[in-house]
Amino acid sequence: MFQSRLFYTAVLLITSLAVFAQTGTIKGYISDSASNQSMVNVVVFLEKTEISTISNIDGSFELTNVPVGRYVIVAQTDLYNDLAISIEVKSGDNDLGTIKLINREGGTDLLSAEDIIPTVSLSENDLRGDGAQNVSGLLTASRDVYINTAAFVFGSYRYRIRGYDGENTDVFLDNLPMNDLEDGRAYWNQWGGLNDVFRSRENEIGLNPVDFTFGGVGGSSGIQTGAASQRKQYRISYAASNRTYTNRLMATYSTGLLPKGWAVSLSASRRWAKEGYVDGTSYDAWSYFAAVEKVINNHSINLTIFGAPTNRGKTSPTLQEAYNITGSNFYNPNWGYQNGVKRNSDIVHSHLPTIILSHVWKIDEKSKLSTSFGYQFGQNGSTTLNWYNAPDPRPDYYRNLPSYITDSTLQDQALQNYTENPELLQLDWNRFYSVNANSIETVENYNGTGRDTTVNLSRYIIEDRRYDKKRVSANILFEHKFSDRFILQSGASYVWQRTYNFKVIDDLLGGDLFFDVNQFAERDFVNDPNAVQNDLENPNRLLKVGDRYGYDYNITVSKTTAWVQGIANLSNWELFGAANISHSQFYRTGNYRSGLFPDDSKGDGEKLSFVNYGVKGGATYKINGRNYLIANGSYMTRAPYAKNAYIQPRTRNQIVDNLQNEQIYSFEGGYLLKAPKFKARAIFYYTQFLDGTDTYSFYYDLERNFVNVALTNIDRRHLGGEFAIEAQIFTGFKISAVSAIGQNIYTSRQSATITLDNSAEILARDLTIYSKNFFVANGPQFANSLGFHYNSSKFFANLYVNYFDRIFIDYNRVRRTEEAVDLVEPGSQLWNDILQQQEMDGQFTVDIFGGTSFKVNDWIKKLERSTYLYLTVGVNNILNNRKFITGGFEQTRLDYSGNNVNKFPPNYFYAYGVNFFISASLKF
Amino acid sequence: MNIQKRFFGLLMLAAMFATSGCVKDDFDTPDNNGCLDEGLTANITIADLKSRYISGNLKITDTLIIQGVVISSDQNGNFYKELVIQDATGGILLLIDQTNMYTDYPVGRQVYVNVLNLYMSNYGGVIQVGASINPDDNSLERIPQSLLTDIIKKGACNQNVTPLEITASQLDPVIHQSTLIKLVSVKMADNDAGVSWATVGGSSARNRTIADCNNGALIARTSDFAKFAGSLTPTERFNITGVYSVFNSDKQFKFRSLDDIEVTPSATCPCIEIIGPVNGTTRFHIDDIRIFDSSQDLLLEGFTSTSGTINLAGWKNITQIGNLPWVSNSGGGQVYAKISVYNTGQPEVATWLITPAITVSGNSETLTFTTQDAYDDGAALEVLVSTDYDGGNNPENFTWTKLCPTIAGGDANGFGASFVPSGNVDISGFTGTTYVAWRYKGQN
Repeated sequence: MFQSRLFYTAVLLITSLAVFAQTGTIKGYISDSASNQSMVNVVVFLEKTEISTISNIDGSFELTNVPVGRYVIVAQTDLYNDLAISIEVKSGDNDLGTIKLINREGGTDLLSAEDIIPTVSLSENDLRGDGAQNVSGLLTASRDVYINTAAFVFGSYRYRIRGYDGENTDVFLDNLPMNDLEDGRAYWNQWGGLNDVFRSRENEIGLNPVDFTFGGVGGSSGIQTGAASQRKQYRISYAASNRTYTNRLMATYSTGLLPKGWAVSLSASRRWAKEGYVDGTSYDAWSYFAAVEKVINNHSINLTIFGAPTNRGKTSPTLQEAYNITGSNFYNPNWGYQNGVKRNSDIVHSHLPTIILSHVWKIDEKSKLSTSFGYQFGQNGSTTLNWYNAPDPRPDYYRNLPSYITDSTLQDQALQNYTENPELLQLDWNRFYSVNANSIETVENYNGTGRDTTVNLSRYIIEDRRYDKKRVSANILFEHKFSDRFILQSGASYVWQRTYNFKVIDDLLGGDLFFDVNQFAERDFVNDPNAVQNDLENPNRLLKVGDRYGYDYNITVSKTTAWVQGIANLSNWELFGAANISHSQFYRTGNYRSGLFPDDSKGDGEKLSFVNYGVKGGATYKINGRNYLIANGSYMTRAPYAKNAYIQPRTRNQIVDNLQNEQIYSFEGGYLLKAPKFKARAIFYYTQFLDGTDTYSFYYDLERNFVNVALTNIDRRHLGGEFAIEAQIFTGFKISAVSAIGQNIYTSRQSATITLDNSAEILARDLTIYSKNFFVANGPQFANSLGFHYNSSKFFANLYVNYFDRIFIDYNRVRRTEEAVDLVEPGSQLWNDILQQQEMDGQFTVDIFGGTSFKVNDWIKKLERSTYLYLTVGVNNILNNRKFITGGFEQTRLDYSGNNVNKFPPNYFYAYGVNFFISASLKF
Repeated sequence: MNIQKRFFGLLMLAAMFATSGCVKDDFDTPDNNGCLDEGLTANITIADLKSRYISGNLKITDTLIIQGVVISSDQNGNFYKELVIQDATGGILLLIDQTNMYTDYPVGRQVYVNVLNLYMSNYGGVIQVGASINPDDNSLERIPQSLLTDIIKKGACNQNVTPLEITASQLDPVIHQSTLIKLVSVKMADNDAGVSWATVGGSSARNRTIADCNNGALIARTSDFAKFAGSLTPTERFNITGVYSVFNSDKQFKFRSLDDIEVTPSATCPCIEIIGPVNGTTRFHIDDIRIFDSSQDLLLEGFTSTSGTINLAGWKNITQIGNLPWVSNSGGGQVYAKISVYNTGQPEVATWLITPAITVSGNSETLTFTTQDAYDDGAALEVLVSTDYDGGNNPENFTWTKLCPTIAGGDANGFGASFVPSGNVDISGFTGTTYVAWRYKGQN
């Protein structure tokens, strides 16, 4: 932001130097057509000249030394339609009076990412996120064509800016850090559906400084929810879509700042669908928001409360074979008919009410102190099927698929069976009820009573895997302007967070009870009644709906951070430097005494503490008012996330050996051109992550058992360039070309320690993973878009033609070991098939966005207020390319004996085919 | 209030009304009590299907549907990837590549199997049905789980099969294979009593020998993966139900859960009535009869003083049917009581050898003796005890309880190698004036 301010100042300086013989001066005011409020920082320029300026705080502008003649004067600013007026400039003053700009609400600028970006399922490793709304909600409207395109166009196809994961971008609400402390990611679904009131944002990508924090290596996003900063309006809008939801209704009422210093803002919405784009994906999300602000002289106090109760049926990526049988790349194995109604077994639900109290004190003209407190609590969960002593009910389980059959005749028969009976590839709910109804079993020593009982024990149930949360946060932010040239910003924050991880019986599917036993231990510890207990202190529990079982533990994390930043604006240079330091601590608290690990499961585990710091700095050299050279660099360390620190937190406190801080070096630099009709960007980045840690669990075929993997020494390098040009061909019509190319790779041989889930026996210590030069599988690494943009006072339309390539499938670590290629001839076809990373085909897509607005008062004269109707439409993938694999992952299972890489083929994600979003909103 | 505000309120009301209709209701649940009957009709019996089998791997090329009731269960892990079904004519084993099948095919559920294009094969004497042939070793492959719904249709539930009560020696490896049988008042062979059914943590299956009253033997085969693998075999008499199988010359038997075992500590051997003809070649020798209590011998008889027709003081040698008394015989330096209907020309005989009266007072009175058989074509010797017998010549008119000692058996082609000890037979429950009898039955 500060760059653009400087840019306009520079433009003003340069243009004012131009002196012509016979000249006139153009004067005027710019205001919002709806509110009549004056508008600052609007760029005003004359077409086909170099003459431009920006409007002042009172909306006034002045163009001096304009040679007399006919011109087209253009006013443009973020979020408003460009306005072009033909004028005749005469010698002397030419007063244009008040120019009103029409807010382009409902246009792409104000759509949130969720409106634009279809749901993309994440890998199963991202169980928690799994988030429709968790894809980069980071970015919003920007004049930067690259950022706009990356967010709204590329984002639809799983592209991530610079290939970064979510934990590299810091998100703030009213200056409070919102990233989850356990995994570092910000969950935008916490305020999903509150687009109207969460639009006041400040964003930066990369290392550029922001006003409110040191920032992550990927950038920062700050949202202000204060009631006084909400635009005064009534607004109701309805949207229809065929993406994750089919209907959205939103209503918002904001008073703006009232004469007595009060401001109130209310918003609520519902988004729902019986079924989204993918079969069986139901959707039911509500949201509410209330903010009250009181301004007293130079103090303002705001209280905001919001929440978004959400229930959403999931889809799961699956095998190409299942896609092929069903004839759809959007086949969803999670649902089936129950008495004629589609029911999804995997429902993600969440509701985290959040309260924020903030205070801003403008101490004087130069100093500002902002303080915020936040409290958040509530539920997160994801339901799924569980079963005990019953066949795996998942229809896409590999043993259920025809390819599992070796005999070709039978394979054909199975294929035909599935083709003729597509319901066989969906869940069979009626069967679950049948099995449960017939399951009468005697349970010995039930509930630890020493007695036996004969009960109707469910074989199949729905369980709810919960990760509820409580979070307390506080932040203080101080800013002081020493002069127009030097600003000092500093802040400190404290966040405490506890997640409650457990399972709950959600539905017994017709049976009376379920049995709490560790069925994976049951096989290994036959006749050991202790080892199979999930909680030794409550053995052999018979469970009813609502009972916790399986595992139950808390993760508590706290983090204290302090930072300082200085910014200097010199005549040809902008310089900044920043530093931060943080202390974080986490520990696990077991609420069950696991039968497998009685001494290492219950109570508080070891408390781990880390001290981290970061420094960054940068310089922008202003060659002139339009040409900029930028160079930024940073070094920071990052504590391992609690999510990656435990070998298996469900059963024990055991910590990954040699946990260490991650180190991140990052540099970015390049060239920016900002002219009124031509903009260009060429930025290169280089980021090295060193010493990362990750953990996961999977079924290890060599051991025929579940194992836990701790991966250490994960180094990755993200290297690439971001190129964009945008040229105005004539007033209202622009063409843009954007290209992002990355080489985001792992640069080290990772080290895996494999531990048996049931006994903590180490099967392999520091096993070398031959992972060097493998690609970070995080969406396309080569994304291109050619955009055509038409923008008039009546409507706007954008057409994007895109091409994506360098899409890599996430690789199975244990398939890149010596063991996996034992007795395979090096360099042979098989060798390559086992070791090489799969790359998907490049794909073209075409998207359009457009919109228009009407002043309803023109039709209905007796309306007292100015009333506007906004219509927007976005159609993605208009060519209906349904073969676009945007990502995927290899299964962790591996056929060691047969060396058959096709036995456990990868799972793929497909981009949606043609999909749309239409919204109409009424504002007054 | 201006128009817009009213309009806003109206819209909000309408919106609430519109969306409230979409609130999720509970899902309806099936009301068939969890038993789906797909109701097919069989067109061949299991016995007739098996009779079509000739040799090797036989592909069934006709559209044939068998119907049977499930008698096996993998719930406790003793059956693995196999389903045994039985109709009125017999049973058959289906090889299926699926675990935890009991959830869909519990014991007692009727199923219909469309065997078209399946294969039959003979494994150690058992007819098995599978889906394909492994080209590498020509073995029969299991029916894939993805085809189960196509091949096996579900029928009525709880159609439980009553097991056939039978003795080991009566079991026919062809007729009775893959059917549910029940052995009554059997006991474990001495070495296999009080040991685990299988080896916990192992990965194979174990044989335990069960001895029946008629000295028949049967192998109980139990998987190490069975949930009851670590349970101990009974040391007392018990009844047991399970699925009969053969493996070449072995008579095998697999039970499904510990519920299949009914321990009957007070039972003596009911010594099942002989079913079917005894052709009359079985010869028996008895020797070394001893009855003792915790302190002394009550009776000791080694037949050393006998010759010709047995006529010992206090003993009875009664020819109830025919005329074939017990006689004294000797061999291998041993004198004993002998009887054999062979070549006597007597169409039917029943002969009793009865001890003198013994006073049993519940003081651990125990009977032992030894037997040897020869040319055995069926159990023909019963050991009986009575407390109301009057010592006269019509013992058949009194109440006799069958005891279950070990009696030599199975030596069809000559003499048994040696005299077989009866084991300790507890008669302490028969208090009062008590008689023990050996009754031989035969036909010629």
